[in-house]
Amino acid sequence: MEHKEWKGKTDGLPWMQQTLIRMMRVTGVRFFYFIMALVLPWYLVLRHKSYLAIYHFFRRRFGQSPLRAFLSVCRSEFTVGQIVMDRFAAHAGHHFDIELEGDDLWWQLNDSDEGFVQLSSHVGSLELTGYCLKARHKRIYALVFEGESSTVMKYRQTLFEANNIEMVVPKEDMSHIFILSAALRDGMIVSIPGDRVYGSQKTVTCDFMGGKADFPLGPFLLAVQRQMPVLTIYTLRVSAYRYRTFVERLDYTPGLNSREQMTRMAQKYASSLELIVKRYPYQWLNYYEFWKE
Amino acid sequence: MEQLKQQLKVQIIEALNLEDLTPADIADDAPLFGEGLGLDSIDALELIMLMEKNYGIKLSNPAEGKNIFRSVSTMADYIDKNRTK
Repeated sequence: MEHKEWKGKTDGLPWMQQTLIRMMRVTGVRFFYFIMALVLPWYLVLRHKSYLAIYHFFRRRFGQSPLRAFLSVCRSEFTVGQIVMDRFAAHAGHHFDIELEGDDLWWQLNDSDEGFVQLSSHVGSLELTGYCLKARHKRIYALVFEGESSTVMKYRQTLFEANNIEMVVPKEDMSHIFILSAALRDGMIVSIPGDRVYGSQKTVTCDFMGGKADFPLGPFLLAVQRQMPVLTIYTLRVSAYRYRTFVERLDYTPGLNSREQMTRMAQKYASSLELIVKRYPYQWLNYYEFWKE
Repeated sequence: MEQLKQQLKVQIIEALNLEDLTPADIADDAPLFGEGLGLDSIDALELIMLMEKNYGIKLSNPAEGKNIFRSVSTMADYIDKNRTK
């Protein structure tokens, strides 16, 4: 499956998601983990392409046997399901305990006059990242995919707004490009996925998990052309109601021109992501054939 | 204005690394995005920086962006009216 075909949206109609959120307000999230486990086998059958992509992920990236890879897919589906349920629980007002590692970098930059780029990834919970780091002096402009349902977008909007985050949706008229570029120029924070190709198909091929994979050029160009600091942020599920956020700075390499710098920065991001994916393989959310081969 | 358009074409070729093109290959009114030069949103980022660095123009209204970047003529026109250097 091509990057551009995979939308990565949450399953369910808006009214179903709304009902789920209302029920979670009274029942808690663990009950829904159980319900989800019951419907999991159907997911494996109905989403065959996604199943194959994750199966290949465990076979080719971790060298697992067919049986072990199958079991890993089941565990991965369950873990990702829990992450999705946790997100609805957050929308329902549940509190999550989020441990922060390396966040002093983030606060330092947040207190400075210059803008910075935070690279998010489709591993763990992208959204909870937005709820745990609340910008004090800056606004965060977060590039998000528009395909989510009205329910998800509405709750996201409410929670993000409380954390000084503005969602920027990629548009045909390229208005998102002007918003993000101006945000960095004005000393704000731009949050953008570093592992998903949106709109432009211009990519950088990087070594990643023992293969070659394409990463979008845009996030790295945005940062490099203004020489903005670059942070990676990952929020991973540890257990029920517990997540851990890792913040890391990706340094510029002296003596490179802009194009070389972009390529190098993309590779540094890929290497950083690799460490996280190896540590939390069941939280990989890119449900398509991510590698070129 | 003609001189500005020529200068702009040279800067576009350089900024976007369009090594196969010369300024003569870019018609003043040809669309830069889509069917014309085939530029995309990533190239728009480069053009935003080009306007900022070379002409001191800080584009802040996302709604007008695509109209400004419609062609070399529209860019030159906007630069002529708004440049600070």
